[in-house]
Amino acid sequence: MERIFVRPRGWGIRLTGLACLSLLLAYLQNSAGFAQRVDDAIITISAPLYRLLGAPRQALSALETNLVSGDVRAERGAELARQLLEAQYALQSLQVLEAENRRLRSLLGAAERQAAPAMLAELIGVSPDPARHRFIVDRGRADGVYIGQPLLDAHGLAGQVVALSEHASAVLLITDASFALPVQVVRNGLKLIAEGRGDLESLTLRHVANNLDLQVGDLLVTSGLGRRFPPGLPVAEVSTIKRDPRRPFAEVRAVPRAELTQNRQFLLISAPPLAAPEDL
Amino acid sequence: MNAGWGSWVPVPLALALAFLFALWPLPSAAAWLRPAVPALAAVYLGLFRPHQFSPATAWLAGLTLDTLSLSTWGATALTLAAASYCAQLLGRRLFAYTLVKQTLWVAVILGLAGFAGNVLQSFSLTAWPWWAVLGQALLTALLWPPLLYLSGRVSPRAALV
Repeated sequence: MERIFVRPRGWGIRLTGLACLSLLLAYLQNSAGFAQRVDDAIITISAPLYRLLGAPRQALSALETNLVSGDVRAERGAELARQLLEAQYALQSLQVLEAENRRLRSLLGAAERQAAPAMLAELIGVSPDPARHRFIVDRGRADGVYIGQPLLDAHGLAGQVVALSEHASAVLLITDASFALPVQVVRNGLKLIAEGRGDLESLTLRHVANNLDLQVGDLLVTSGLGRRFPPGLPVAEVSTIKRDPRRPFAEVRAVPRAELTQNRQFLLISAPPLAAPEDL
Repeated sequence: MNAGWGSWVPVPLALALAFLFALWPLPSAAAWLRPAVPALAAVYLGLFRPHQFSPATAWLAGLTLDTLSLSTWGATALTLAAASYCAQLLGRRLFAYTLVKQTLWVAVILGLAGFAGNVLQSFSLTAWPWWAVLGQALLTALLWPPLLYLSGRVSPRAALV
């Protein structure tokens, strides 16, 4: 007679063993050194798969671009020309300011700041886990990318390279819960720590005293402390400040400047004076 | 001999489809609503093909998915192993229930397995909020009746009985 209630023999103990093995693997993944080598290997394996999965979307996007009418193209072209003109005007003002800044720095005897070289990188994949904020971009070791290299979009800092293969790299976004970076308020030079909280739309600022001079709308840029990022890269804008006199610190949220959910093109910038690869 | 080989095809096929569903790029806002199809596949295979899909096989499949999805190692592996184990534990008892009760049982299994995997996610500070784990389990369990129909395990009339 066939039994209705079947208990898998011995699998209780085996499942406990598998749970212990999973715990061990999760622990090993978070221990430095070992994890880096394996993360690099994972990117080597998974990058081609993400390219493949992203192919239909890219094809649709290309098709959409080709199918737009002449009027729409002319409109977009006019809009881009207007944006280019505005950017060129802003650049002219910046060139004057840069020259003035260089003269002042030489008068003060301060070291001259050099513009960091940038490389265009295209997004090929996003981690499917919504709690884990990682991108895969199409530049790797062969292109001179290194661990710790900052990734930016047109508006601000997006993240940092954490794993590499020959032709792709994984980038940890500034909004990931495991990410923290030193920032500075542009208005008054106040130095703070911004942390990701697993939300693509916001960062949190830790240990902000209630009486600190911080306002909604303040722009936060990288401070250069920690030697990870060059100073002055836009990071976020303060969006809310909740001050409660019963608590020692205010609750501060900031909106990242980078458009993390919309962009597909990013810039990888090299910052040799501050962050040599071997230091990271 | 050929029939023997053919009987093994559904397992990798089901896993490949589940992986494709798990890795397919979605807009960030919709990513929280993605059903846990690999866990559902683990329950299904654990029930209908226990001799071909043990909790150890489920664990290895989950580890592969953890690797491909850049996730915390062992998190999906533990989820799939737990889902497969619970399904085997429940076994044919599940089919004594109506389809609605079966769906609820599947939601319970997926919820328990999801919470087990989520404990490991917290190691890398990427644990899901409890409501998201619960919501995903309920959402995924809703796919149980269509899965049974599509696989020919239940006739469309059965749901009405």
